[in-house]
Amino acid sequence: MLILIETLILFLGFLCLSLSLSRHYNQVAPKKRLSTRNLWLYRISGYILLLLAGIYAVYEWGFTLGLVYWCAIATIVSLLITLTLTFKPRWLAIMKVISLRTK
Amino acid sequence: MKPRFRQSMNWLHTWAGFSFGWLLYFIFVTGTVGYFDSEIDRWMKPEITVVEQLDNQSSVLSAAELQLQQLAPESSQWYISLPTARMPFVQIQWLQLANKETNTPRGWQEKYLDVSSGVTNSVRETAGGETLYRMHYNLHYVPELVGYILTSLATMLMLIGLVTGVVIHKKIFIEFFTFRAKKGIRSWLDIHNIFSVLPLPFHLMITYSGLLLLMGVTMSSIIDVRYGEGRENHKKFYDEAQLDIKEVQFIDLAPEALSIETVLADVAVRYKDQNVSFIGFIERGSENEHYEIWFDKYEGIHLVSAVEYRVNGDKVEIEIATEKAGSAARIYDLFEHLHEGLFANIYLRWLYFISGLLGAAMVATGMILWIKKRQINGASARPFSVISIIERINIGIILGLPIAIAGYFWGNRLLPVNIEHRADWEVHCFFIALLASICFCLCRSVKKSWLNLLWFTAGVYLLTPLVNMVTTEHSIIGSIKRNDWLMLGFDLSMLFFAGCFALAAIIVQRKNAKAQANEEHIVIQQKLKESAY
Repeated sequence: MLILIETLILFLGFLCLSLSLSRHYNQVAPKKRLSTRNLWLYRISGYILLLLAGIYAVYEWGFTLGLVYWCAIATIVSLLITLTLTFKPRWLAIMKVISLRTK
Repeated sequence: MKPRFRQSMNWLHTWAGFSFGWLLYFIFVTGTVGYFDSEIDRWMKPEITVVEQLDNQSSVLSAAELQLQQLAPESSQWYISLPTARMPFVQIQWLQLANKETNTPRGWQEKYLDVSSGVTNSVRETAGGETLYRMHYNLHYVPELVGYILTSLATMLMLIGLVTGVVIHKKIFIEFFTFRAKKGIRSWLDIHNIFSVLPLPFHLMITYSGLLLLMGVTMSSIIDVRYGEGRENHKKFYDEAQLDIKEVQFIDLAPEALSIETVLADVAVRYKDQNVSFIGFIERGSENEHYEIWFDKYEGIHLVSAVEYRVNGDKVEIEIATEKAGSAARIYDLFEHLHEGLFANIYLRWLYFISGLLGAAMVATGMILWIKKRQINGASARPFSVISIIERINIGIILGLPIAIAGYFWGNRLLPVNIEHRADWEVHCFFIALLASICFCLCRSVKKSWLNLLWFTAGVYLLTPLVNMVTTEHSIIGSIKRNDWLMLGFDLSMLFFAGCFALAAIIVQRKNAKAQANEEHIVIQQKLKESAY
């Protein structure tokens, strides 16, 4: 389903962006220090993923409807990430393991 | 004037937000509920027969036409609505002219058709989901114009609140995902920021488009100057400004054969992938007699407008309205469609709904913050201080609105079917419940108000499907068996919201218990210290 793919890309994008902030990086990985290199890797990949999600949405649904889907799903996804970071940050560590392995 | 720009904007944000905060909360909640107005309509009219697809369209159409002929032979406009995803029933509507003798005003009448028997169902008179939705700009108990002006004013202040909010939020990117729980006012500020910044595209869109939708009222002076005052002159403006681009074609249909059936047959061939939602028989008996076809599926954001069939000379011609002629009207249309979200499928509709609720939560947390900031000096220690009264009214409104909506639904099921002005009484139930919630809070302490009302809201939503089951022949199991998805979806949503309120009640209860335990701990420590001396 198209919405799920869009949600997944946006989720990964916002996750990377949140991990690029040391406050949230430390919530997910309490003992580690966010190096400058990782900060920029996370930030750039986050923005690229957001852009990809936008391109995918426009490709799939047309310009106006695509932007609507992009904004609406971005809202929900960032809300979920925010709440998870506050209450269960370890759940996001699973994803982080996958992404940190490549860096 | 404040010395610095940001302080100035802070002041503006606080007061623009506070002045119409409660009205904005009302507008957000009723408007958000309005995204599911058709679904709510179905639940509030349990007598209608639900049908997903018509197997025998022609016999249903003849039955509908027969009913219209019996009920409204003189009416100039007839509509038959065919089943669509959000409105799975057959409905007939007609325009009834004002009748001085029976003192009936000019208005639309509607009846639901029972497809198996061909006669109309007798459906309870109800305000329906539609009234709940319309309240978000008409308000209630005030003339429509007053409602429009107040709503538009609130919306303008909302827009100011949004823009100033972004300006004063210095760390908007750094704190994008930040929610520090259990830290008092800091937590409230964090959550207010979350509810405002994350759905910011939605908030900006809904506020700006809301202003546009009411611009005919707020900027009516401009139309007055160019076209003159009064309804007739304003109509000239709208006809010019909202002119549609129309494609006209002649088609292969004999003028004598032009009827509802032949029109639908032609539409089925010409627009194979589209479902027809309405067919209208307009200006019957006049020279301009024609048929209108409206579609259910929309192409992206742009609604395909009506296709009209009429006799022109000795041929039949069709007129397809594609889009607006003027670019300003096209932009207006785009914003109108974005605001109303009629194009949305079920998933996008839920996203709209959640974004709307986040907007309501933004306003509510803003009000709570305003109150908490003024309690720092212990001003609310006296129970009748202004701030403590405002705080209680605040709780009454924040939780009172969900209770009022549930009260509205209960009124629909419990009010006797035959009382006069039943629809009005359902709305009275809404406002009585709201008023009762506010009065309750004014009599209780703040902590107890939150807890009691949260549990009460949870209970009343939990029991709504039960009330449905007891007062009608619908139930959750029954809806599954009958494929009545709208009824089922509504009942399940009620249970879901009950769960959410119960969860909130449990969280507040635990927080109170902890605070209580802390206080007792401190008191014991004090006593130990004193006894040690």
